Formats: sequence, C-alpha cells, structure tokens
Amino acid sequence: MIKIQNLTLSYGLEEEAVLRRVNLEFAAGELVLICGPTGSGKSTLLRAINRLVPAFSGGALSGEVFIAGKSTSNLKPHDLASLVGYVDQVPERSFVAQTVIDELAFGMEQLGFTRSEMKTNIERFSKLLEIETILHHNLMDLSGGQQQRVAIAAALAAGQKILLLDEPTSALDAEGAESLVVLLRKIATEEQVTVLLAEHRLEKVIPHCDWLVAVAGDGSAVKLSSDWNSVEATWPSWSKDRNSHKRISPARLSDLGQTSLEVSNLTVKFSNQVAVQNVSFSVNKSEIVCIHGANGSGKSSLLLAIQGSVKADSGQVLVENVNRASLRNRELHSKIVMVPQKASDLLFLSSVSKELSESDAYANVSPRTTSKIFEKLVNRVEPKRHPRDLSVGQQLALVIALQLSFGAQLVLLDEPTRGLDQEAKRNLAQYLIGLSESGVAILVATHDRDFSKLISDREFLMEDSRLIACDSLVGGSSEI
Amino acid sequence: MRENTTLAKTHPASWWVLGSVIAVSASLAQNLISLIVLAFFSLALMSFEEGRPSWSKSLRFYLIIALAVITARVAFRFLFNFSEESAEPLIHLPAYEINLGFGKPVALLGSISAAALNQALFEGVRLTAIILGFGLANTLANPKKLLKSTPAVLYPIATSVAIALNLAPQLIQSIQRVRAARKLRGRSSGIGAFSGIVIPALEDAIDNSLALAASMDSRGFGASLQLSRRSISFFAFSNVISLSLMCIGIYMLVVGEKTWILALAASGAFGIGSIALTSSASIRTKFDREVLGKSDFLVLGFSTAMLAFWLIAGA
Repeated sequence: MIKIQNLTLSYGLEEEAVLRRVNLEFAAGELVLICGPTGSGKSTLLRAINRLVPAFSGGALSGEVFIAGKSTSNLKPHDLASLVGYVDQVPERSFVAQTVIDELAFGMEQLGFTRSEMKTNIERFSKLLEIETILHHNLMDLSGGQQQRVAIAAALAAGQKILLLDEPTSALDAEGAESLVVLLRKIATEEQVTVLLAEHRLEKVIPHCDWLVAVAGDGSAVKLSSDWNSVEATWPSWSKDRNSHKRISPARLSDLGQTSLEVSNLTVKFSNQVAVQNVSFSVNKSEIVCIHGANGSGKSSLLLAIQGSVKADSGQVLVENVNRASLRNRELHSKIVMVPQKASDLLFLSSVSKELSESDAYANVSPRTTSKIFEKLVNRVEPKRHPRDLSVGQQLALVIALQLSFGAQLVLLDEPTRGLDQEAKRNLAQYLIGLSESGVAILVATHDRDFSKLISDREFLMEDSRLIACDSLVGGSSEI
Repeated sequence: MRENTTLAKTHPASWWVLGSVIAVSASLAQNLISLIVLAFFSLALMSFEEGRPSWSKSLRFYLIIALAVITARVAFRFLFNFSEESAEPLIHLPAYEINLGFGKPVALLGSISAAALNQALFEGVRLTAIILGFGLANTLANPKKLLKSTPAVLYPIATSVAIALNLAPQLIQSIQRVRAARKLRGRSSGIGAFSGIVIPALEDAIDNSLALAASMDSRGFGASLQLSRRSISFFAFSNVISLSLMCIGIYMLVVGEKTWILALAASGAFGIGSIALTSSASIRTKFDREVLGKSDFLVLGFSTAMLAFWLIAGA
C-alpha cells in the first residue's frame, strides 16, 4: 500500500538530513507504530507520505513515496486527499467547521461526493468511531478524546485507505489512550486501512501493532517487529523496568507535615459557568501532588486561581500561612510560581544565557543563581543556543529554573508531559523529585497516569469542577 | 457557545459586505457626528460577540487601535502643523525649524489654529471608523466559514488566503495567551514588553494558521478545481479588465467625474461574472445547502440602504 524508497529530507545544505535514505514498505490493513525521541523526525516521516512535507515545510526531498503503486512525487496534499487521511497532533487547531457533522462532511464536499453518499458515509463512520450521539455538537465543546475521534472519522469519511496520526494520545488519559489504540486496530483490520501513528506512549500501543518503525534521530528509520525488545535494542535507556517506583529519601520525609499550600472552599466562575466548585485541599512542604481529570474538568482553572491570575469568586488560598490575596507581584512571585501548558510562551530572549542572566537581574539575586538551578535540572546546555531550538523537555526545565529564581517554595505545573518522549519524561520526573527534596512543594495537573505514578505522593481526581477523590500513597509501606 | 445564535448563523460574507459599506460610508461622510455614529455602530455590533469563541474576542484590540490612530493623527498635527497664517492661533508652542540643506526649512511645532486641530481630529476619527468597519467584519465573520465558500477559481491561491484570513484573529488569540503567560512570569504586559509578547505570539499564530491550512489541504481543499487552460486564461483576462475599470473608476471619483459609479459597477460585474462562470467547473459539493437566512437579508438590506444614503448625501 505504501512504499518508501530512498527518502531523504534536509533543510538547507549545511544542516544534517532529517531523514536519510529511508526505505519502508507497508501492506493494507497494517497498524504501524512510529517511535523515536522528540524531534527525531517522526512527524516529518508521517507528513512526507501525504506530501505535507515539503508542501508546508519547505526543505529538499529526494527519493520516492509510492501509494497504491503510484509515485507521489509531483502531487500536492490535496491530490492525495481521497487516498490518505491525516490527523494533526492538536485536532482542535485543524478543525475546519463548527459542528461535528460539518467537519465530517468537509472532506467529502471537497472531493465532490453527492449528498446521499455523504449521509451514508457519515452514518457509517460516526458509528465506527462512536460519535453518533454528538453529531450536532459544537467541536469546541467536546472533550479531547471526542475531538480525537471526530478528527479520525473526518480523515476516513471519504473512504481513505491510509490513516496517518501524529501523537493521537498525547491529550488523552491512560484509559482513553488504550481504547483509542484498540479502535485503530479495529479500523486497520476490519476496514483494511493502513494506519501509521507516531507516538511517545509505547507500552499501551506496542502489543496492538504489526510493525514498529524506529526513527533514531540520526536520519535513519528502520522497520522492526513490534515488541519491547526492538525498543530496547535501539534505545537501551528506554527500558520498561526503569518505570518502576521512585524512592523517597529520608530528607524529604522529614519535611512532610509542614503545610505549604492550603486551599479552602475555592470556587471559580466564568460568566455563566462554574469552573471550580468548593475545592479544599492542602499540600505539604516537599510533597508532590498530582491532579487528574478530563479536559474541561477545571484543573487549569484551579491552578490559575491558586496562582492568582484567575480571580476566585469565594474561598481562600494560604501559601505558607499567608493569605495569597494579600500578596502582590514580587511578593507573590517569590512564594508561588506556575508553569503553563505551553512553557515556551515565557521565553523571549535570543539565547539561553541571556534568559538566565536577565532572570538573575530581574529577581535581584546574585549572578548565576538561575543557571545553578537550571544545571541541577538538566545536563549542560550550550548557553548560546536559542531557547526555541531546545527540546521541549529542555525548554520546560529552563522555564522552571527561571520561575524559581525568586526562591518560590511552591510550583504549579499544567500538563508538563505533553510532547515529551520516554526519556525526557523520566528526566522531568527525576528533577521534580530532586526539587521536592530541596523542600519545594509541587502541584501538577496532568492526564498522564504513568507519569503521576512516577512522582506523586498523593493523587486527586477532578470531575465536573469538583475535587472528588483523594488517593494517598504516602501511607503505603512499599512506596517508602 | 451554541452555534444557533442569530449572529453565528449569518453568512460571513454578509458581515464583510456590511464592514466594507461602513468603511466606504466613513470615507464619504462629511461631518464628525456621522463618523462617530459609524464608529460606535461597529463597536456595538462587535461587543455582541464577547463571550463567543476565542477567535472573536477582539473588541478590545480594535478599541486600542482606534484610540492609537486618533492620538497619532492629532499628535502629528502638533508636530507638523500647517495652520494658515491668517487663522486665529489656538495654542502657542515654540516653533522649531530644521534646515535640511536644500529647499525650504521644515517647521516643527509652532502655533496651531483651532481649524487645523479640528481637521486632524476629523481625519483621525475617519480613519478609525474605516478600521472599525473592517474590524467588525473580521470579528463577526468566522474566517473558516468564509473559506468554505471561496470560489473555485481562487483555489490556486486558497492556501495563502487561508493563512492570511486566519492570521489576524489567531494573532489576537495568541497575544492574549502570551500576555497571560507573561503575568505568570511576574512581568508586566504593557508597552515595554512588546518584543516579549510579539515574538512568541507571532510564532504561535503562524504555527496555528499553517496547521489549519495543512489540515484543509490534506482533506482535499483545492483539489476540486478542474479548469481548462482556456477558462484559466479567460479568468486572467477578465480580471485585468475588472481591475483596470476599478482604477479608472477610482480616478474618476477623485477628480470629481460624475459617472465614476458606472465604471466601478462595470468593474464589479466583470469580476463577479468571471468568478461565477469559472466556478461552474468546480466538482465541489455541499452537504448543507447554504441558504441566506433572515439575518442575512437584514444585514445586506441594511448595508444597501446605508450605501445608498451616503451616495445620495455625498451627491
């Protein structure tokens, strides 16, 4: 169905090729996992199949991709639309319509389907993806999982035989991710669609796939059998065993018990909607607390209300026994900091060293204070590099360091693992644990149960704007 | 957030017609009151969209632009004032002359007459009213919906149009997010923070616009054009005629020729006609037939009445 021959892609002459002489072949009905570190070229490989690369990326592409036996060399993405469906990493930003049904119809409208054909296909694919009850909903009101399903249905509705998905589970919780993969397996087998997905989450996906393509980051992409041995042979450090339980050092335990944050009866309303309803909990010094919950359950609003960017309608937030409402600007910043979902929003200078020294100057602390925090978090990073050229994990570490330069003892993180590969995630877990050992309390809103298991002392669940469950792990003897 | 509100049901093209008519009216208006009425009319309509999806929360940004335009226009009048010698000076500022080394020296500041100040204010408000007219269209018309009705013959440039049309609303949304993020870093989000806001916001807005365009393209947008070489050259030819007629019309308007409207009408007819003729080659179909609703007729009727009023008042 897909045959890739000697595919090479490079941007500019002096730069290294992103993909070099890649040769791959996949049959109809196969489910293929494309894995590799962040920035290794997974998305590029995927997008080269329907010609989004080079049409939307530039760069020099050589070699050939054959789809159903035909060369695609002189084609544009829209010429391949009837054969290949593509689902973006963030479905929300790729939606073209307002309602689910219009979104499903869009591709078929472009390809000249009649109304009755459209009706039949919409019925069939909405049933297959279990979205038939939300056909007339507004796309922006859907949960992340529903949006993902709508995007897949829209990519298949015109009867495409190839489905490309870029990190489809990155916004889903563990159960959502697994049921999506099961569904993709079903689509591949029953509809004879060749499904290629680029993914960071491997554990849940590997057992369902026919092949695994390892994109190593040096330009190579190799087809391997889909099991953990292939992964470990390519990336020894990604071993499954290393996801085992963390250890809590004695130094950390002695700090537990002193309250860092106390939230009581916090309620946040946005014009006509309650985002956070009567939430109370506390976080101790040195403790890591994770809050789970579906999209729109109020996690981000809760963090923003604790930090103070969003005004609470009632309730109280105490930070180290001081009322947060009485803190302003610098005072507030020296007590409590937040890292938003897109951490790179906070970076604006042209090099890492400039960001670090500007932060020292702004916080009025001795030179190199911020870089010392940064160095503790990640291995050495070339100080002249542009912050936007760092990996997502490094950017996150940089932002955390910059935020901590004021000496805050409470850090709030909103979905920090989005876009991180296994190793980056594990590094993040390590430096968050290290940070907490120095006495900092950490509150994390996340979908990622695996990550939460790696770091959290306690876990909460948010549902419909309430904090409904609290699962204490600190009491468990095996963890300590 | 529901889609079935009257505003959301109105066809985006109707909003663009209304916005353009407001802009034309503003450029024809001869007194300050009517300009102020036009500006407030645009603002009032825009304010209905507050609380709607984030692509349309742009009222505040257009307000800021409006005030900046008026302030700049008046400030420039203070700096480069061309008050007539005979006019009664209103404000006295020390005059300053720069000799550029050739021609007459350039005079800065100096005495300003009330008439000169009035005129600066009038021109500032006029420009503001024009900007708000287009702001109204940009705010109320969902760019994605408008793109779906793009004529087939424009497909070769449709991707660029997709990116361009989506960029302004997307930029406003990105700026809001980056400003919020800056506050999290304990920084101000005022004027001094310009580069710190603009760089990440631009990056974000361009990324998102490109992602949308890529998504549309990969789903076949632009595939449905099957024009013969002949209709493409016909389209190019009639476009040249249409644009030439438009230039002639504008020239006639500027020099005060009465029949300018005929030239502009002919230009429009040529443009629309060629698009209509070539669009029949499109294989694109519609799932939901887009019918113009009551609100469209209201908006379009109002626009026509407004245009007619200003044309008659102008004559």
